[in-house]
Amino acid sequence: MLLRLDPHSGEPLYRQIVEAIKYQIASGGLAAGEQLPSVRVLASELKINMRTVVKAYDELSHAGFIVLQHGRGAFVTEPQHTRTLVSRRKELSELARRLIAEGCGFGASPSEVADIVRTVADEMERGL
Amino acid sequence: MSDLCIETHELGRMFGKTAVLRDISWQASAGNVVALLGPNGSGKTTLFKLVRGLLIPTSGSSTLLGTRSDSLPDSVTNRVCCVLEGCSPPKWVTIRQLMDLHAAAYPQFDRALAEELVKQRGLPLNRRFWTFSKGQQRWAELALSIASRPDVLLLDEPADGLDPAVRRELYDRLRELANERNTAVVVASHVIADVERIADELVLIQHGQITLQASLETLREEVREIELPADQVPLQWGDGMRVLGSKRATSSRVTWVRTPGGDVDRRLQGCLSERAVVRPVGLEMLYFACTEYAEAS
Repeated sequence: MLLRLDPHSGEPLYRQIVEAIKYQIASGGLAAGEQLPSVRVLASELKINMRTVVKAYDELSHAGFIVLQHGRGAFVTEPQHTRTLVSRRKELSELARRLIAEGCGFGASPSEVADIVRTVADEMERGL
Repeated sequence: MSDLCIETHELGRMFGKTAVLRDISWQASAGNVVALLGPNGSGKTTLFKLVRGLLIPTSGSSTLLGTRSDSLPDSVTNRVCCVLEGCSPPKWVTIRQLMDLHAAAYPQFDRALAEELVKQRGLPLNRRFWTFSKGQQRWAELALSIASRPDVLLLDEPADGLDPAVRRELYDRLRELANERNTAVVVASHVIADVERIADELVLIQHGQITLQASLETLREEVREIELPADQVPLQWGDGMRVLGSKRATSSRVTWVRTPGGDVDRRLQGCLSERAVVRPVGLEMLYFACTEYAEAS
């Protein structure tokens, strides 16, 4: 992991670390599940106090970007991406089924309900 | 053992009728690097001498590693290295002899490290001190202090005469000492960018008094430079905000403000017009703000 800090910029160093690691995660430089350097190693690489690294890792963990495992180190959070997508789809499908069922109670066809959902969604997106 | 390595309480020193230092209450902890900044003649060297027990205070007190500075036993002094101007080793000794002296004086002395540091810069161990350049002599002295692995390391203008590569090496090694050995490192320097790179704490001394004492991360959080058009009416600062200094240019006015207590930018926005430009402040600018452009209090 290559991090560059600018100690002369006046930006807190811990925040520079937070931003740099977030960037690495977003750009794929750090993969999910990958282990970050230990506090000691990163502090020694960056020539800074270990407390500063601890503060950065705490903030990253608090924001959900990394997981701190006691005694093992810091890891980039596993993407719950696929799992969330699947479960979200399941929940939305259930919601849609209930809506269509109710709509059919009014004598509408499922595709008529779907059309109306589409129209309402468009209006909402346009901010009407 | 307590984490506090240096503790002074209302420490002061008169030379004749002149107060060179007044009311210095200051603490330095293990594992921290302290940048001691201040104009020439502000009292930095005197502070080192008082802490190390080379001068007796005229008021207040100082303790070093838990012992009063004016009566330090060998068991404390052999854990403290102090590199001051004008205290260089005799010119006729060789580096090897100097190493033997350090090995005898400092129980934690690491000879292999000393040799590595000295040889790395091409200094032969068996040559006499006077045959080296000023910068080389300085490096040899510093290398031996670092290799002594002290619990407290006091350095007065260490980078004097060192080339940029050696300066970088020096400050990297100081950081390493603080991180790996938990040494309290105090560096007095005018080369602000060098200390800014590795320091944790800032102590600013002016006219014999501490005028600013804070962690660098805190200052990075709290201090901003604000530039306003010169025709703009002066601002009303919010609660707790403190103007450190200000400077008028032809078309604008720059003010340096410290806002303790977090949420700095949002709170500043409340005081500023849209024409204000707000920037973070590096240590060098902060130094100028507090010295050259200081607000008369």
